[in-house]
Amino acid sequence: MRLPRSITFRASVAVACLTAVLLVGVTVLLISVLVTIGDPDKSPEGSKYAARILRDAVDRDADGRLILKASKALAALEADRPFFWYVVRAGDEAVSGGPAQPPAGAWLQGWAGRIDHAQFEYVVGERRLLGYAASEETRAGPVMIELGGVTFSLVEELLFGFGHNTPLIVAYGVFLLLVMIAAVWAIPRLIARPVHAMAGAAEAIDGLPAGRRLPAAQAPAELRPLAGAFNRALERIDAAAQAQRTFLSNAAHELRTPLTRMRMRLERVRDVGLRAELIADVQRLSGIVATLLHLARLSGQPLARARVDLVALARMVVAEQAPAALAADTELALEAPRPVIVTGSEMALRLALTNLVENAVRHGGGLVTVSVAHGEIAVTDRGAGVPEALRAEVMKPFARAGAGAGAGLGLAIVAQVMALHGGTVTIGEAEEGGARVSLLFPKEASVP
Amino acid sequence: MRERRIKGLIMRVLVIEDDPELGAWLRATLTQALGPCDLVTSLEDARAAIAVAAFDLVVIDRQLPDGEGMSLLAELRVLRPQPGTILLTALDDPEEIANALDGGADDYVGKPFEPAELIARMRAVLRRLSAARDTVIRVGNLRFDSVQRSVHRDDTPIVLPRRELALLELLARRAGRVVLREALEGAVYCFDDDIQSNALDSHVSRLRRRLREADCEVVIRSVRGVGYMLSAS
Repeated sequence: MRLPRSITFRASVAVACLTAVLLVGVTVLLISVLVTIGDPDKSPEGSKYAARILRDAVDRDADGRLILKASKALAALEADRPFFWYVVRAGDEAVSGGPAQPPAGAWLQGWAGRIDHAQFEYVVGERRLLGYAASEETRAGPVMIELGGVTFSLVEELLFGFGHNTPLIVAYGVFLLLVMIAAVWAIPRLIARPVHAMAGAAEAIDGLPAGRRLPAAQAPAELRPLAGAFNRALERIDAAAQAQRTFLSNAAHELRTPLTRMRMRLERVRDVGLRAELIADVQRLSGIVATLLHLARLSGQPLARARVDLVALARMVVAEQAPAALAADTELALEAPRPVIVTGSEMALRLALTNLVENAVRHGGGLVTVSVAHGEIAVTDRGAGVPEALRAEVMKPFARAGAGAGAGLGLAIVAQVMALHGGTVTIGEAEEGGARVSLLFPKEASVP
Repeated sequence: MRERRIKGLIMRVLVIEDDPELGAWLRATLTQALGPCDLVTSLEDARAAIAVAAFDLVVIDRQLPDGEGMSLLAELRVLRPQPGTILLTALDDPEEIANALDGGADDYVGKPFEPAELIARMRAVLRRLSAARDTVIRVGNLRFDSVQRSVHRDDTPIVLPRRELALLELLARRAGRVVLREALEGAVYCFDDDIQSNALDSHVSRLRRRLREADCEVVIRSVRGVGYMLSAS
């Protein structure tokens, strides 16, 4: 299995491993501190353990005599520790066992009833051994237990320490476990949330209007260089777009002002026929300039995308075009049985549809129908139609379907707009003859 | 003033255009077609002209030596009577047009323009303004009085039922433009009326018949699926 290349995954694994090491390491350390390591012979833990076993074993038999009940723990203690000895006293009674009992009883007796516990060292040959005495409440009443010769190894100390400090150990374990869980659960969120927030902010930048930036100031330090670089890239893009807009508007001004003057001067041409010809030329030139500027704008800039109601758009375009169409004896109709919404640029789509309707009115044949269906707008006319061989050709700039056509840029603009929307333009034949031009939107642009 | 404008469509026009040749030609053409026309070449001069005289219509070039012609729109909007405004410009992509119309311009003419189109648009803006301001709307030989709610062909009154009268008013106010079906339906029906999908169409055809029988020189054109348009025939 390939591990995901995720920072959060690696970070949480690292923290989890570290915590696990800490769990083991600190547990050992903690117990070592809790119990005295160093010289095991000096540690009282073994004696305390033995005292507890003796205390639990103290009882009285049927005659009321003090006895030690045999127990597995006591037997194990006696078997494992050759120096282990003990004396359990209750008043004058005493039970004892083990070898080499030091003469402790004599001085301890003086403290009987007043001593809680005591620890002492005694010497057997060359060995110094640890002795222990404690007053305990048992089933046989208060007794004094004396013992010696029990020392724990390091491992036994640890195990015994565990037994003694269980709540603390469990609390510590739970704490470390929580740290581990937090590492695995929280770190990915801790790192991922600002990244997701930034991705969301970047997603919200739709290209237009210019000037939107990532919130670099609120970003965590690690992401700030990224946000800054992203914003600087956006600034460069904005500047380029602005430069292009300025260029286009200057170009528009420089091209159109002389055309306007030219058109104006043509009013003074006396020869009516010549004037009409010249005016037609200026109009054609103006049309080309207008559409070239539209094309330049469309290809140079990202589109501002939003939900576009195609039916409302078509209604608007038809309503706008209807007076001119009716004046040219062409009827317009809209067929839109149900609402159709797509994601796209209303401005660009409006330009495209306006071009199509104008084209259709020009070639019209008296009736132009705009129909809107799911993911599609079609404009149908009753003109001569477009021969199949020419259909691909007319989409190219400056191509024209026969004499009397427009500048030949209208369909190029439509094709450009649809390409920007990831859609297509198809030219077909209407049922009643005439051309049917369809704008087809891709599935992902359709909003249900 | 109002009477004069309605009958002969004589209006006082201010043209703000910095190109001397185009400006002079505009003044000559518009004076002949519409009435007295003043020409200024900068925003500063335009403000001075507006301060001393009342204009019916202001034609503004967008790129002027001392600024953007659109900046004048807000100042013109507060004038009473409010002049109509037409922006004249080389920038005619849809976004710019939308900006201009949202900025309060009544219409927008891209350069280069056909003289006849500019004059027709100026007339249309003025008609629209007076239709909004005036109580009497004229289309062809039809006269609609929105206060008395009466309709006349020349001086002959025409009697129309309530709904057809409401239809006609809406169509007449926006004569020459398509009025959307929704707007017509909204004006003609109350909420509790049961609207049949073709009820509007039958009202319109009854209205058509009545206007034809009264010898009105107007025509109601239908744009199927969109709406209707009233114009002088």
